[in-house]
Amino acid sequence: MTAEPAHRAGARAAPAPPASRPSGRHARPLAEVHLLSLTLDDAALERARAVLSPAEREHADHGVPAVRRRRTALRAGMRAALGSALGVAPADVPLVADPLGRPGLGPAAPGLDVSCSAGGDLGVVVVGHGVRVGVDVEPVAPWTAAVADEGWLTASELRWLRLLPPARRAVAATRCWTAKEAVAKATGRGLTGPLPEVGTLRAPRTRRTAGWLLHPVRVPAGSVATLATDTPVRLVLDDLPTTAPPERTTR
Amino acid sequence: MTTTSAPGTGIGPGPAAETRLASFRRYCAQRTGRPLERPGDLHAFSLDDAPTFWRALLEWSALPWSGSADRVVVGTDVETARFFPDVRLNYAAALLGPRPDVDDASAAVTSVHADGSTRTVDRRGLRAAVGQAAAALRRLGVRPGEQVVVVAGSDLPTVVAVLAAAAVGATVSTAMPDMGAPVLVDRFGRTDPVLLFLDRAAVPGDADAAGHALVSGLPGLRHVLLLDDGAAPERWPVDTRSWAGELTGVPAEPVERWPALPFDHPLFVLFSSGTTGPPKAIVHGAGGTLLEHVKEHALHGDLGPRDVLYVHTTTAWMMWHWQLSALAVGAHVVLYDGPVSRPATLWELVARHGVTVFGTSPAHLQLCQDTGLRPGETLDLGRLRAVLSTGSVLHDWQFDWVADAVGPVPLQSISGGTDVLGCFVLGHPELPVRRGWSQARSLGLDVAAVDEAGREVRGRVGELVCRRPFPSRPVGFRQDPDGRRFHDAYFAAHPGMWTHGDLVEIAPDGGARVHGRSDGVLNVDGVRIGPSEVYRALQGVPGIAQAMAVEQRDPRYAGASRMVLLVVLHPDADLDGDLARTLRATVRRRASAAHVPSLVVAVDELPVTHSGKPSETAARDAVNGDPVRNEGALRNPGCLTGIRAAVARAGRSTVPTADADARALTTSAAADADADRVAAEAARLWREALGLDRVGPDDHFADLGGTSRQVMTLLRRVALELGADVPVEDFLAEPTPAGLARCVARARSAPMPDVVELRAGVGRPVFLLCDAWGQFNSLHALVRALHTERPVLGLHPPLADAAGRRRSVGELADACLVAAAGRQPAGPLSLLGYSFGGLVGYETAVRARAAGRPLGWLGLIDVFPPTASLTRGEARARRWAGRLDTLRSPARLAHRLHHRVPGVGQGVEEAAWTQSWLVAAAHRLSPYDGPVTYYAATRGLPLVGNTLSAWRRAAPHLLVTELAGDHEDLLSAARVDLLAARVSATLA
Repeated sequence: MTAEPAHRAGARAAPAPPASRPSGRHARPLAEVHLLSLTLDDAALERARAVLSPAEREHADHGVPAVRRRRTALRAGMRAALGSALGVAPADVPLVADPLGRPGLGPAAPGLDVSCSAGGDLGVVVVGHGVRVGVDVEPVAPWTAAVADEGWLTASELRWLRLLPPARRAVAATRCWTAKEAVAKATGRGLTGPLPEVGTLRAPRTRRTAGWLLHPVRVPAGSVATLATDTPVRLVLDDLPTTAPPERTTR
Repeated sequence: MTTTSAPGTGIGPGPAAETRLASFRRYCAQRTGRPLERPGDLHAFSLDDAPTFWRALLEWSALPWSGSADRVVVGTDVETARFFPDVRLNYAAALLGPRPDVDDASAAVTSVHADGSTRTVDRRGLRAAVGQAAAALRRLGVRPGEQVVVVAGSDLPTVVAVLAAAAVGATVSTAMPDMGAPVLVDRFGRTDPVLLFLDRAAVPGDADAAGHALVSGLPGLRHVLLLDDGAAPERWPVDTRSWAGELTGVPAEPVERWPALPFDHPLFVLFSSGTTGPPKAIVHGAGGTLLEHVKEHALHGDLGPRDVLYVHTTTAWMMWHWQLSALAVGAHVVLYDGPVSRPATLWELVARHGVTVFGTSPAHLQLCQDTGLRPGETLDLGRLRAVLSTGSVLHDWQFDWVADAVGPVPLQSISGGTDVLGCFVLGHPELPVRRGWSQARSLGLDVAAVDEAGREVRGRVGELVCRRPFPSRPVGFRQDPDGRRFHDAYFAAHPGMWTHGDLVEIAPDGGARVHGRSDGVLNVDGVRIGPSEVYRALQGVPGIAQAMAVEQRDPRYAGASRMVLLVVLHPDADLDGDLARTLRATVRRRASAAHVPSLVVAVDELPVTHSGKPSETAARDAVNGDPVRNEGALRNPGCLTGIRAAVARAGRSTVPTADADARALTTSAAADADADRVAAEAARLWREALGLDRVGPDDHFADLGGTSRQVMTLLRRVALELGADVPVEDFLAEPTPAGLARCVARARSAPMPDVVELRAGVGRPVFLLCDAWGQFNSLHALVRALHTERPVLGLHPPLADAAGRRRSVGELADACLVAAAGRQPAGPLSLLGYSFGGLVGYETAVRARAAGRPLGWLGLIDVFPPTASLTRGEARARRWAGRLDTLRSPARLAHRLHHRVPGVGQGVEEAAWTQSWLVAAAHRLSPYDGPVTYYAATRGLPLVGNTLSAWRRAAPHLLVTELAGDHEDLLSAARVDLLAARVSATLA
């Protein structure tokens, strides 16, 4: 039960109406994956900031300048993606947070789910149409002996990682982390719950674990990203400019 | 560089990448016909057949010697045995003579100074310089056996002077110029020197006055040779000349001219503080010193002509002589006589000079760690292949720090002493480094840990002894004509054994861990202090009737130690600020700054034994809050309570800390000081996790750019370094340094963290034992998949006690029973465990039954019976099965081999697993007559039957249910559902 390979960049999904559901029993729900750059020049930053709510602006301002830029860009990107799915302007997207702090649309659009992640200069926003999603992107962190000591790898995952040639361990370990984090974000519990054992992920195939499906997301070299969904999906990959107007640009 | 291979010796390169130890092993195997292949065989051979071993070493090392090596050792008593009585050699010739495997033009010694300037001399040049110096000494009338003393720093002229004195057969002692004249006279006076080398440029203060005092105190001096080029001193009572002047125009004499002297000819006299009495002047024989050093460098350190050795030491310490001997294996030695202005100074030196083996101390490593240094990242340490550490106890986290901040180089903890001018435990080029442990015992030395009765103990801390003769045993003491002091110092405690005065633990695999001194000698941050020196300095301080100096683990800094002085005052005296100040000033003046205590505490009584002897060990245990081991031997055990209370109170008072304590603290109350320290530590870990220089107490983690993964790293380090398990939710509720400090304080004061809720439910809980890491990560899938309404609680007692010692299976079981009974006071207990956790669970069941609280249900998931519980046949079969298994599965072979690759930084997790395995293997199953449900993996070691026999012997009511898969698969995501289903079906 694997999802289709996720590399159909440029394919436009069938326009999805708000509160979409799978149109037929056999059509898999859709997950749109948007990659965006989090390094904005000042003009783009101002434009992005303009679509944020006051609370989001305040949250962004709490961070050091690099963090402020990332938060602004990512949030604006999330609004842009949801705005295009809903057919409204980014600033008008009714974003709310659930009791655990997970962002979403709430009762306003019950069929849509969203997840976003920032890793270095790369941001990922995923919009799920009728499917629960969680995504995480990380720059590849070097493998050192201390990684084993960080406490999030299970014994068997560690053993497998150690069997890999050292050159591949860094990527594999980072992928492992993104998989765990993606599930954590999909459930909404984040780090407060035990992280699932995800085993070794041999990209690009999808893997099932702990009741979730894990899909590798293709991102530029130097980073790794994983998407977790609760049901099989069709993945569509898009590049979304941070200040995208309601219509998407494709490449 | 041309090399010739001399067959049957250690010269010449062996097969590619063969260590010198392997080459020597082959040599021994050829000579004796014994295979010597398994680890430990060589060490066993070196003990069982010592004469062959030592002779083989002498010949393989290609050292120049003459005479006959037929008699290797005469006598069997370690105190009186003599080695190679018919061999003659010259230490300087062995170090400097031409060797076929070493290019004469290669660098021998590089001397580095504080301003960065260096001077390098090659082997030929050094040989010529020493030849010239030896000729000059001969002209001055220095004869073999006479004593020469050198008071100078660690640089090239000092090396030349020392080697020249050795070349002509004199006995040499060295000291640092900043030691006061009284101390030098006290030490050197015992050796009756005829010649003094002095570098006035390095003497602080009025050098001429100090020199005068020194010279006046040594009546046997015939000449003083000045290494500096200052003006001639006025009116010194001895003929004083410039050394440079003495050398002018003197032709170098050839190496052949240097006399070949008996093996035991005195070479070095070193000084060592004792608990009582004056310092010991320990005489070391040339042959024993040379042979031992060559063995340690070539075999244990794999040191050779391509190596550059730098050991951070001074001429006052045995490591200086130890490193000098590296010339005998053709290594290049680096010396540094400048100050260590920053912790990075030494690492920069290592990088700049391409040092391959770097020797340092735990104190220096801790300083580097505390200041956040990351030498592996900021410097090019590409040529560094090993780091040695000695001087005091090396802690577990320091191994982690080196692996993390320096690189994947082995950190070898070596330990020995001035008394043997060598090491009892040190590194091994073929074994991996186990965190916290020295890798091997020294070859040829029967090092063991014994209890009070002299019986060997394994896996427990005991007294370090050497039980058989060894060549580096010192010849004797100066000023000890009948050898009584020598005997009392080392051979009185355990007859027939050399008692070293250290506490050590020897692991089953031969690794060792030194735990500190067993006598009253203090080790204050690497500086050895004899308490008697403190008491002598205190004589005459008014108001002090009695005093006792003990070493305390510094409560403020992990791994550091400080001196606490307990004083009994005269009835009319009071320990106020004035008296404390006078006390400190007097000690500083009469002894040294290092002797000034960090804490002075007034007590009513000091502990004495029944025979009236003061017991420093009892006082030390009381001061550290440890249980007093010899309470029964005390005449007045009641005084211990008073001592404990007084020390606790003093910690809270505002008595100012000593100057010797360079990291001065504020004088706040203990609670604030503690909280401040936690906050400072938390802030440091925070900074390190995020790579920041500064952080405010209320800065949010994410606001600073911290990612979730960094949260995990941070909390993990908090757990390891601060000993506090802070749950992620707690941290996320207040993710600031101040919040973290609060979490840490809460976690530490939390009463019973041994039970954690893994899954909520109703009814009687199911207790799940933790895994070999003390965690539940690997068991989460199982917990989630169990079909039961009952809550699942995890039992995870701390796997080690406060001192870092791993607890036995029995101790863990006791803790589990208490924890479980605490959560479920009534009703039958249900326990479930996998692998290591299952073993603990089984033992808990045994204890529960013994406590009259029989278990309701015990589930064991593929728990191997420990080796100690197998019959010999079963154990052999398991070993063979293990080998077969390894051969069948390339992945497993790679996995096993991975463990054997030396120098690969083994993660903390791996080390923890090995430790748990060792704890488990040593356990012997107790009989249990209750029902046990056993879930066995079918694929795996093919002798399932034998595994179950061992279990059935212990627990006759074994109900076995089989599951497809092997040991590691059972819990994996692929198969856990099956296991969970089976467990759920049989759960009770």
